[in-house]
Amino acid sequence: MTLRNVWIIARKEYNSYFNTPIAYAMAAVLLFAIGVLFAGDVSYTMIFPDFVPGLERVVQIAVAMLIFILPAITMRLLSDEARQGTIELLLTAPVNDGAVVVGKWLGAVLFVLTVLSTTLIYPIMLNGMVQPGLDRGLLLAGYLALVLFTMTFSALGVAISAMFDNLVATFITTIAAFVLFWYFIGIPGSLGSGAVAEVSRYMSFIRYFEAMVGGAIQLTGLVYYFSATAFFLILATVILQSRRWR
Amino acid sequence: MIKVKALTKDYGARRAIEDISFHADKGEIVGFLGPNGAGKTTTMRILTGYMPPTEGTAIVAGHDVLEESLEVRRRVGYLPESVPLYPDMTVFEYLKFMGDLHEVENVEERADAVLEQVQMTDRADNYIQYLSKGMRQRVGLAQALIHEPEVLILDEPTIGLDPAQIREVRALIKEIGRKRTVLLSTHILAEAQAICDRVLIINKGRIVAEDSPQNLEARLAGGGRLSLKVKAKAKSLIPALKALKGVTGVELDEEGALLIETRAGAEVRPEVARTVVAENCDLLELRQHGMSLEDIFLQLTAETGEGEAL
Ligand SMILES: Nc1ncnc2c1ncn2[C@@H]1O[C@H](COP(=O)(O)OP(=O)(O)OP(=O)(O)O)[C@@H](O)[C@H]1O
Ligand SMILES: [Mg+2]
Repeated sequence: MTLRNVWIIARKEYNSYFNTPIAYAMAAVLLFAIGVLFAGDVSYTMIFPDFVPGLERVVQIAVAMLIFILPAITMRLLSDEARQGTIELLLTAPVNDGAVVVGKWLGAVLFVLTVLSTTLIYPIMLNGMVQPGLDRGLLLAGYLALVLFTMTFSALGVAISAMFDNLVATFITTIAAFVLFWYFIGIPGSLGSGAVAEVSRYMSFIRYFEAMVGGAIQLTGLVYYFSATAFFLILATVILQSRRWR
Repeated sequence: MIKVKALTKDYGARRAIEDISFHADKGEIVGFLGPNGAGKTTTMRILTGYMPPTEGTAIVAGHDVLEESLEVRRRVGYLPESVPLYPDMTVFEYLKFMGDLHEVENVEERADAVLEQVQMTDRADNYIQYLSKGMRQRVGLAQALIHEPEVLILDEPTIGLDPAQIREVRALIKEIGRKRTVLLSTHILAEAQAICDRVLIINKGRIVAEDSPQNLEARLAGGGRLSLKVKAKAKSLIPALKALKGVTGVELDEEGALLIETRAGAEVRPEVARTVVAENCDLLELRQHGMSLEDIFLQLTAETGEGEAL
C-alpha cells in the first residue's frame, strides 16, 4: 500500500465532496445548530455576567449530529463506486485494495474535519467575550475527541459502504451501526457488574469521549479509538476483497 | 502477451466459462465474438485482475494474473462494458485521476495526448455527466490508453456509437493494435471481421471456433440459406430441389416462399435456377441470406457436438 496511491484517492474523494450539495447541507446544519446554542450562551452571559459557557455542549451537539450526518458522508464511498461500476476500474488499477479503502476513508475524514474546523469560530468568539477566556486545554481535548470520533466512525462507515451497492441500504445500516456502537455498546457496563459489564465499559466509545471532553485524556481511550479505526479499515478491505470472489 | 490456459469460472453454482484457452501476440487484434451471456465479460474480468478464475491460469503482459496481479494491472488498459466514469468530474480531471492511479509521470501531457487520439480535446473541461453516450465511450477509451499499456482489453468498445463514430473508433483500435496486443469483445460479426486479425467464437462459456476473419468469411459466404419465390406450384419443386448436390433441406414457409438450406461452401444458385426453369415454374426471386451470427453458432455447435474447439 503506497502512500502515493492513498493520497491520490483521498484527494479525489475530498474534492468531489465539494461538488455535491450534501457537503454544503451538512456544513449548514452543523453550523446552524451550534450557532443557535452559541446565541443562547451569549444572551445568557449578558444577563448573568458570572456565567462562563462551557465548551462541552458545542462538542456534544456536534457529535450527536454527526451520528446522523456522518453516514450520509460515508455511504457513498464504496457503494457509489459499486453502483456506478467505477469500482471495476478502481480494482483493476495498480492499487492495493487496502490503499483504496484508506484513501476513501482519509478523503471523508479530511472533509468532515474541514467542516468541523469552521465551528471553531464559536469558541474563538466566546473566548473574547468571557473573562478570563476559555480553558485552552479543554478546547483542545474537546476537539481531539471529535477528531477521534470522526476517524473511527468514518472507518466503520467505509466498511459498511463496502457491503452494499445501494445507497439507502448503506445509509440505514450505517446509522443503525453508529447508534449501536455509540449509545448501546456501553449500556451493560453502566447497569451491572461482572465480565460482560467490564468488557462493555472498555468498549464504550462514548465513555472515553465524555471523559475526554471533560478534560481527562486517557491512554486506554486513545488506544481503543486507534485500534477500532484500524480494525474497521481492515474489515472494509476484507469486505472489498471478497467482492472479487463473488 | 496474453496466454490463457484452461480458464474456468463459476459464479456460485453457475459455470460462466469453461476450459477457455487461447493466446494473443504483440501487434495482434483478437476478437471475442459471442452472443449475450457467452462469457466474454467474465473472461476479460479475469484477465484484467478484477476477479480470480476458479481454475486455470492466465499470463498477461508477462505476468500471472493471480500471482502478480498488480504487475498485470500496470500493463493493461481496460474499457469495461459499462464504461464506468465519475459523472461529477470533468473529462480532464478524470483522465488525470486515472493517469495518477496508473503512475503516469507527465500525466497532463498524456491526458492531452489521449484526448486528441479520441478527438475529444474540445470537451476536456466538460463535466462527464453532460456528455453523450458516444463521447463517454471515447473518454473510456482514452482512460484505457493513458498509461500506454502493452495490452488493451476492450469490452464491446463500439456499442452505442453512431455509424460515423464506429468507423472512427475502429480505425483508432486498428492503429493502436499495430504496436500492442488488443483483445476486444463484440457480438457483431461484421465488426470482428473489420478489425480483428483473429476471431475467437465463444458460446455458452466455451470457445467453439478460432479463425481468421477471411476464413470465417469464406465459411459464411458458402453456407447458409436461400429463399426462392416462384409464381405457382412451389410445392411441386421440393423433391427436385432436395435432390440437388449441396442442398441439405427445403421447406415451404407461410408466405409460399421456399427456404433452401445449403451446405457450407456449396454454391447452388445456378442449379436452383436451372431446376426452376426445367420444372416449368416462373422464377420471381432467388435470394441468398448471409448467415447470421445465430446460424454460425447453430452450425458450429452442431459440427462440434458439445462445442469443442475446431
Ligand atoms: N456477477 C455475476 N454473478 C453471477 N452470474 C454472473 C455474473 N456475471 C455474469 N454472470 C453469468 O455468467 C455468464 C456469462 O456472462 P458474461 O457477462 O461473461 O457474458 P457476456 O458474453 O459478456 O455477455 P454480453 O454479451 O451480454 O455482455 C452469464 O450466464 C451470466 O448470467
Ligand atoms: Mg459482456
